[in-house]
Amino acid sequence: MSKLLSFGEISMKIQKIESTTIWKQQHLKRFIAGMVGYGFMMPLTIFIGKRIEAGILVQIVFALLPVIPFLLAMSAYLANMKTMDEMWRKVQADALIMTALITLAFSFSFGMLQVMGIVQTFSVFYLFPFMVVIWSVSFFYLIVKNKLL
Amino acid sequence: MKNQLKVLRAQRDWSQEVLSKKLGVSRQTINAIERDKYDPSLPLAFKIAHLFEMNIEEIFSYQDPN
Repeated sequence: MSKLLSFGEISMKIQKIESTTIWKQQHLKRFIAGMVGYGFMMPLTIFIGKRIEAGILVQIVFALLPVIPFLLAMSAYLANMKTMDEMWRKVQADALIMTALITLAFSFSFGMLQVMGIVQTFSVFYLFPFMVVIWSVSFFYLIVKNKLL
Repeated sequence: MKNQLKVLRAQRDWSQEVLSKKLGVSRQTINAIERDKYDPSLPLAFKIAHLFEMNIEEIFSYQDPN
């Protein structure tokens, strides 16, 4: 009986966590799995990819391998966004718009500096982590500004 | 936009958690609506009015920001 009760308590706690966060369990698991896979495959691909000698097609396929778990994570993010209620969806959309505008301003400014020969080239490889940081700051800013938690 | 949600909820002795479950939204959304930090969509406003068995304009009132 006490074991059943503890299961019930755990279930209630999970429900409480679900109701106070904006991530649904199944989507969060898929997102984490995708990002872990992405983080694991990227250095592996770079390390091995630079050392293997194969045709261009194999190299392209190999280079794009980390994109697969990344797309898995992004599909989980989008699926989760659909399950959010209207206010959280608006906050997410606002954060994405802020991210897009800041990235646009940054890439345009950097492009101008490049044209003038003031700075060296900037690899688009760093664009994703850059956007993640900007999105996180934007999201946090919106939550604090509107006192949502 | 101003609203009477907090008063109506208190009259029924419902917590934000209870109301959020009845409306199928998060507790944070209820909190934001009550503090006038978020204006609900028309379907959600109708849902709230239906739940409290009132007209929308009895719960929500427009205030000119100027």
